[in-house]
Amino acid sequence: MARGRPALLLGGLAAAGLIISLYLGATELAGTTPVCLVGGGCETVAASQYSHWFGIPVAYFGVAFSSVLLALIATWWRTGDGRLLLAGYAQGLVGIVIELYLVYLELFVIGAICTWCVAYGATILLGWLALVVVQRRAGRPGEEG
Amino acid sequence: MSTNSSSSGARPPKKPGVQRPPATRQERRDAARRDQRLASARTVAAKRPAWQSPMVLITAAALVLGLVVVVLASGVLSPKATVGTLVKPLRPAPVALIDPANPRALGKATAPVTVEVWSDFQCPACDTFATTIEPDLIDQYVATGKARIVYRDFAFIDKGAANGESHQSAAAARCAGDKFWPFHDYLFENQNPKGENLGTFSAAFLTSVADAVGVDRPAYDACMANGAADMVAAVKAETAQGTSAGINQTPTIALNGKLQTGGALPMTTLGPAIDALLASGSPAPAASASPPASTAP
Repeated sequence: MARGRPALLLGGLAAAGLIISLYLGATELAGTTPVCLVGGGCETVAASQYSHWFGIPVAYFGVAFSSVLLALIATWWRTGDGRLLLAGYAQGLVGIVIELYLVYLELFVIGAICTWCVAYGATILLGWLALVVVQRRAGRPGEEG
Repeated sequence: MSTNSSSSGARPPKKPGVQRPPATRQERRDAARRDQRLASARTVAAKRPAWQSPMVLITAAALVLGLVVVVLASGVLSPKATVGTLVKPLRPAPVALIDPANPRALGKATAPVTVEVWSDFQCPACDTFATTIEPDLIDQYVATGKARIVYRDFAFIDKGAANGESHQSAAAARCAGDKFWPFHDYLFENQNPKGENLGTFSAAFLTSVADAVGVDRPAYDACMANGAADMVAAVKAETAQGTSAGINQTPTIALNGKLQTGGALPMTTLGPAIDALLASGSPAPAASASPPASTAP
């Protein structure tokens, strides 16, 4: 299977997630709040006690998560090693579980929705779904290489 | 052009896509071994239950890992660790000085000088003022009947979030009712030196402070229910009053209603300023910039 297009799709989604998390991390570092493109929940979510895990801004975890995902996809694109897709599949699944928890917090605990956070979650979910499709295609005998 | 298969009449005709049968004994032996290995592998795969397939195991492991991260991040396993380490205030405000009519005030209502302290419980400079300057102010001026201190909320560090730590801690202190000052002292004594909005003043932490100062828990819990909406509204209203009055930093001290510049004024500045007011006989304003403090409903 040709890896160029799938890698572009997967890499694009991971890069979008990285950019969003970098923006959220930068606002945290600058001591400001993210500007919500829609609605006004970003300030509320960023100021809530749930915006930090173990004293570290959640956005920093997002930067690390997306960086690793992007590195996995880039390496797969170069080598074609199917195990990297498997690792991305597992990582994406972990990310989805965490994102579901974060969305729950926004909806039912904080009472505000941060569109940046939702957009980040969407990149994780869409990236994982795309990865499943790519993995199934790549998994056919004789197509990987 | 003839091939091996076409020249040998004993062999069956070659089907398209079918491999050429092994010609030599060695090749036949190898092919037999290979077939045996494949058959064995297929048997093992057929015997393995579906849940033991690598994909299912990886999926399950990823889901479990995600749940573990969520449980750790939610603090379900470790709320007691942060709650059980409260530091007692070194120089708490004397309980006898608390004004029963306004639990957020210390000293007599008839004191000639009113010192209003506009503050945020997350603010480090407010912490410095509350733990190092205010005790001297109380000893020298409030206990002697010369001045009265009134705490004012200027909750801004959580950027206006109703469920942020500035608003929730201010609301909790109000919900403590007549235990406001002990609550105030505990909050500043246990402020997180690492920074603001780090989850230090969590609901569990505030409840532990409430227990430490001995509040009426049913009343406190009722006051804090639903995000302490009433008290948060009062905190927001007072903060808005402070903004209207021109406050743009914490702490801001007001002497008889007049805002002082310089933030956490030391006693070397504050003392002479109060003395000057006492000497001039300037009366304390009947109505200050803020309404009286709310108490627990």
